Amino acid sequence: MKKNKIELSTELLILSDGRILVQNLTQPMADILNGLNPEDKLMCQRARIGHRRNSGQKICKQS
Amino acid sequence: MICTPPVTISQATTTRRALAHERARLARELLADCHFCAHDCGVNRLAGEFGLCRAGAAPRFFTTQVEVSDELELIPTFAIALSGCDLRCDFCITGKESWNPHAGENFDAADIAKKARHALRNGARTIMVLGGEPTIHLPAALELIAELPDSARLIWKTNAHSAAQARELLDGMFDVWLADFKFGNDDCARRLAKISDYVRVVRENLLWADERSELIVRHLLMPGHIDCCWKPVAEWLAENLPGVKVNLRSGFWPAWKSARHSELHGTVSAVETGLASQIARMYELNLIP
Repeated sequence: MKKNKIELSTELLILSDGRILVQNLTQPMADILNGLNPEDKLMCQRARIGHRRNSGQKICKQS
Repeated sequence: MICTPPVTISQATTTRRALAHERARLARELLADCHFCAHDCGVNRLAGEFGLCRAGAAPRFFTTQVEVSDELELIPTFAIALSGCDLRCDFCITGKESWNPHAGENFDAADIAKKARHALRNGARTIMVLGGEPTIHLPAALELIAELPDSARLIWKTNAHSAAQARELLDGMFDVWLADFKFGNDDCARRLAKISDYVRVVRENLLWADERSELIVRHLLMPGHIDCCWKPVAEWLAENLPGVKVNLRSGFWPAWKSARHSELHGTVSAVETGLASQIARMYELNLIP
């Protein structure tokens, strides 16, 4: 049985000072970026919101 | 000379879906004398004529996906990005698709609405229609709404450069207007986006949107444009839309044709971001993440 293929697209700009700028952030990419830097509160919130609406799962510590 | 009937919108129709269906038909007719945006071209897009946006009658799109990069109160959102725009911002992050209304795929309202409904069932909080600039594809946007449940929370992500004709058709269609206020003066708008009379038009749209729906104003900080663009935007918002939600975005990156402008070669510095925050505090803006 053929599975439906879902393509998601996020663009990243990684700066020399370590900052990462993101365009069209998707949930999977938010999870990755949150994992790379759990101290980024805003990214944590973005990742958490999507998961909370789907499953109630907490994926990062509360700040 | 092309004559089109004046816009007459029935007030008797009660549901948003039904109203959108009615307006979509009207909007398509108005493509024969297009005045959707403030360029006021008046071209017959149904006959193959092009205005400044270069868009024809058949809309196309370049993205449909659930995203979490917008305002926290709106995400996750099912974002639908329509190709083409009436502005020509050299720093456009989606310049390839926004400057080319023929980019992407054919827009089928029923098919996109099906995906949107699926996204809503699977956790998306809102549906966002954006571009490019969706105003130039008003018939398609209305056709999409006609296929969506009335309960869906709809976001109109716009450059706030629409004309009265479009606003009348949009009245009551979207729960939230997420509107850009990019430039604080007409000189920067002309130089960076090849547009005239920018500030007056955007102010007119923001005031209108604030009366008709929930409004969130976005400003993308640009390097070297804190004093000339952000500061006057902040000052005007404080005076004319006190308490309006403002999203100050500092993630500028030198995309598309930014290299045409020496100050847009890099990103916004930490010093500039700090200064911009100070300005927001000074004017007591209601910043949201």
